[in-house]
Amino acid sequence: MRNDLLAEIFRKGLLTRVFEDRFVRLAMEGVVPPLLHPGAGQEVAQIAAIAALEDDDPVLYAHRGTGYMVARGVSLSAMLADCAGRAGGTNNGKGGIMHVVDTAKGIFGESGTLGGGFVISVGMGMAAKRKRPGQVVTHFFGDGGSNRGTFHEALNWAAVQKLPCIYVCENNGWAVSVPVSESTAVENIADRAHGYGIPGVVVDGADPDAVLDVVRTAAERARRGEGPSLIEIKAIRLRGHYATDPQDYRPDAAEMAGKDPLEALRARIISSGLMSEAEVASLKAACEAEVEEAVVAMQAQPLLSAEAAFEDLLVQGA
Amino acid sequence: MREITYSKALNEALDESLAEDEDVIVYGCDVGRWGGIFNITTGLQAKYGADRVFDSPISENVLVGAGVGAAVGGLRPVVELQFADFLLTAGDEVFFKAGMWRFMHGGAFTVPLVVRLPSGATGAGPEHSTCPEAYVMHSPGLLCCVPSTPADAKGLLKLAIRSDDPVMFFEHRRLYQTRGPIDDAAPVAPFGKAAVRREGRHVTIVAWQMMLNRALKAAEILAAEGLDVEVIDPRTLAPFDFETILASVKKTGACLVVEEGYRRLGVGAEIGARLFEEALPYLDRPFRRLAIPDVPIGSAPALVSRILPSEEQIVAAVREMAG
Amino acid sequence: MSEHPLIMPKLGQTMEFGTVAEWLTEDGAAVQIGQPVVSVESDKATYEIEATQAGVIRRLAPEGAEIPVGEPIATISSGVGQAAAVPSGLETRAPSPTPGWADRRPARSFSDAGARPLASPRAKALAQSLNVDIGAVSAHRKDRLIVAADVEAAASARRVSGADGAPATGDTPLTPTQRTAAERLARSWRQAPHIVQMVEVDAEQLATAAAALRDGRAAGTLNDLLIKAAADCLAQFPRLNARFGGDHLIPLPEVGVGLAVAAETGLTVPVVRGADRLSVAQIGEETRTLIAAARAGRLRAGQLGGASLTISNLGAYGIAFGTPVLNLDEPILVFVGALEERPVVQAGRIVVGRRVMLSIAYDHRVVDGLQAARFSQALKKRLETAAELLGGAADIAPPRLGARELEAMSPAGGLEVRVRDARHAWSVDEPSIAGGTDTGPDPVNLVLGALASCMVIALKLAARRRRIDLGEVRAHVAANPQGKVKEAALRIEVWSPAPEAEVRSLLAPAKAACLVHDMLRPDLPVAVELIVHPAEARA
Repeated sequence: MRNDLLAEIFRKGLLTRVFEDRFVRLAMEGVVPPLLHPGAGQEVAQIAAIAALEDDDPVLYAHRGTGYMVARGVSLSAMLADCAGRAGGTNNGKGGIMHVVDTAKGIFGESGTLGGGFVISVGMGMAAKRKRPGQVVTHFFGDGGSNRGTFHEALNWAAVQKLPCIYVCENNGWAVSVPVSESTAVENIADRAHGYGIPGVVVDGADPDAVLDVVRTAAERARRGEGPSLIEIKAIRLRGHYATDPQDYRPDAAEMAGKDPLEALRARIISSGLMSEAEVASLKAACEAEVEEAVVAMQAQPLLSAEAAFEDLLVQGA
Repeated sequence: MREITYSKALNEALDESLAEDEDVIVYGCDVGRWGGIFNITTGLQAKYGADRVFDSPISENVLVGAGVGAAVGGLRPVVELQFADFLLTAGDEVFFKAGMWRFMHGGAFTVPLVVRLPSGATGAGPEHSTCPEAYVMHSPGLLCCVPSTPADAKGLLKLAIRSDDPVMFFEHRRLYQTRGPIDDAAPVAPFGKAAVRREGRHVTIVAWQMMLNRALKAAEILAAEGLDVEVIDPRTLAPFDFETILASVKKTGACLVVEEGYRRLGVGAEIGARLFEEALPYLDRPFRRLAIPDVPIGSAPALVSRILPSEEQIVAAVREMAG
Repeated sequence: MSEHPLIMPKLGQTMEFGTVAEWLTEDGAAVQIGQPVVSVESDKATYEIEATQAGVIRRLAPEGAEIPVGEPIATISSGVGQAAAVPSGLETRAPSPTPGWADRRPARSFSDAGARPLASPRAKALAQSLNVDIGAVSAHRKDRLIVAADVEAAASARRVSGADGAPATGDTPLTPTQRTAAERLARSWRQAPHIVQMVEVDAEQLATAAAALRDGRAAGTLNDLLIKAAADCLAQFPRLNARFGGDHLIPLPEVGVGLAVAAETGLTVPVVRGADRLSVAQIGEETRTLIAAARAGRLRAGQLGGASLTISNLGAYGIAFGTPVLNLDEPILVFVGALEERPVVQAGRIVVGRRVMLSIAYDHRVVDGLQAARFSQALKKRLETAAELLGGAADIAPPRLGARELEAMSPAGGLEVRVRDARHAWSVDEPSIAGGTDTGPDPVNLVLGALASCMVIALKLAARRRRIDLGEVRAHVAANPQGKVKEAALRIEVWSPAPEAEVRSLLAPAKAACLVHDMLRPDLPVAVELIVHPAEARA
């Protein structure tokens, strides 16, 4: 991978980590509801995957983390406004962090019901194939979601119609408190691709080069009209399901800190001489400043009118 | 003015919509090569190609959900679920995805999706017999059509396809073969406009589709006894034209709703509640509903007949009300 | 010998009927089990039906016939009859009981013994406005709910028994209804000096018309014809269609004819409104409903009161003439006596003639003797030419309700065009100077009037929507008096307590909403079709 791209992935990963930590503190202060599912540990993979796509390739994201949004440059203050009930957000107070949307930046939202979005990305693939050939629709999801019937229906449909879709599973081993070993009949979710006659690839979520590579391959396959692919990122969930989740159910919680892909990337960047310790420190400071600016900008926005409860339902009005 | 069947009217609506707008696609189980198990999509694949009219696997969730996604992506999909009962099989996709995808994302998306839902009891068993439009009327974010005539079947389906909002389109299977007049030059009344199918002054009846036909036949019998019933066909349940019903009940003081859905919390319950809220001083008789009495619909014909509101029941109900 | 039906099979879920496509056997032929005997078609498929028995086949429907699913198309008569035995070994399961809440609800009753009776909201509102004590109203419904019709019946009917339902000893107290009726009659008698004019009518045509009505050759009854005659006459004397208002006459808004109906509980007078604009047949429909309601004690408030003239026909009782008491505030009452055969003088000889006596009472404050005489004469003439009454506006059937369709008819000879829509009838004509008989406005004036009216209505509706108080509205519209209309000027004047700017703001929306104004646009497509029939074809 080119150095500048690697540095950019690191910067965005760091920004995501700082942003989410700040979000959790804002939640403790009562400014936003504590509804973020921290993506700590998964930022690098998310950002590297998206780096493999064109800027206008639509992305539907999973519920864990905001790396997807940061990768595409969605406004941080807008995301905060969505959660704080202020104007200037992306979804007018309707969806919080779970339904952040920015179609101009290719961020196409999320289903509230887990696994409910596979069918939507499939449909978007149908539209892309007919109206914007060459465009690819990428759908991120977790290991838990891959046990929904909708996952299987969508992959079958995408495969038989050869739709330009990429299904990226971030398997961090946990669906809330339930480990994959108890919920999922196969060890590698990518193996499910055999059931649909499509390629299934496993990749290490701590290796940004590998992640970018497999996503690019899948995108090229889709652009050639050969159909969908299933990618499984072996991912690390550093924190609990929600920010203050004590994770009593998780025996490996303590070891997680040592497996942080962002830490590994940081070490790699310093050891390869790409950036110095000081430069990394100042980069972190810059991220923190950027996040603070976003917080200030959000708090300067007026609160949404309660009447917004009735808006944005039908195009034709009541 | 010409006469066509209800099913031909639907076929024409799809044909014309496919011709008028390249973004319209039609899919579902058996709709492509075979022209649909109820013949509604006959000839369309041959005319518009398999890219626009095609068959799908048995995956109701994707059928509807992909429709939402395709609509978000700029197409205007018309999806057929083979039986209206499958509305609930694809519950997340209908009520949450189609109904709320736009709202959840603060209006960033439009979902110009139509889901066609053949309804009505034909003895095919409890999961293949219902008229479940009440669930749709109950749920925000969805429009709901219940056309009773071939003219409305065609007109409302075309309007539904042009609408930028998701529409659940209930076509009644037992009306497919009925014939009716259609005036190609006449404009179609919009969603949210009921049709007064018969004027009267003693009792207001609200009914649609097969129940409408039974109500009109009952009206003929009652007219001979000097009882003139006013029969109103709502045409769409969301948006719902309550004003026409209110004006009628102000005249008659008596309202009977005849529906093919389950009685408890059905469409009739909503109408009754609103009359209670808005028409109290004009009410001169207890409100009544005829509906399926809160049991599933068995398959043996005698069981079906026992629980569907009949013409005789309608006549008896009106006589009792007007007496 | 047993007969087995061959029925139209259900070939598809949505199939309601099928067509007999082709018979494959002769009628009366002998057929074997399994032999194809007929092919039938549904909307999706063609299917050959095989004989289920051996025997003789009888066709029940020809090729091309549409038969509902389940109905027989043929029968096969065979000497063998068998019933398939139910295979034993199937255990029948007892069905589980129906939940108590499904389908069965007790019918409610709305009376509690001893508690006050329950009435519908509409009935309560009506009782209040008619000043009826709801406690004195009896319910006719099985569920004992008091409804508006019960209140109306209580208000208009006379009660024979006392308030507590039992005949009292000695004095019989009057019910509130009876008291009101007595009081009104007394007032009418005291206030209006009555004159009664008696005219004898040559009833030959009336008798023929009555026979035609009785036989059903024309729709309606004799009373309907009398109503029509009286209404038409009153329409010709608009000055008599008024009631006394002290120092002025108050014109009545339309011609309403009351018909006295004897119900069990007493005399009641429902009113046929706008009777001059209806045909005898239409009056007949209306009186049928009114009489049934009156006899059942179910007349509604809107069906009583405000008549211009009442007809009392006691001819059936053999009464020749009388001195009727006018209904309160009505200017005229026509009492119709018995239709009898009498010796009459004709061309110097005595012959048998049918005659009926009308005793017409007039409110002498409203009608002077000469006006009365003219009316009496007109009514007499009208009844003497009763045959004509069974034609007239009935020539044109009203169009069906709900459509914007108008029918028009111009009888041969003049220019008058009688127009009607679903609920109104009017005449359009030309002045005599233009060759017409001036029975109504000319077409251009009608359109100008429509324009002015439409704009005024649109203005008033706009005001109503915005809750702006408008008061009286006048309009003046003018155009060039002769030839093609070159331009039209409409001036609307409003007297309103609202600020001028507010009222002015109504003009633009009114103009936008004014349909007639819009109709006058030059590009309105107007399709004109002429259909020519040979004169003999006019039935």
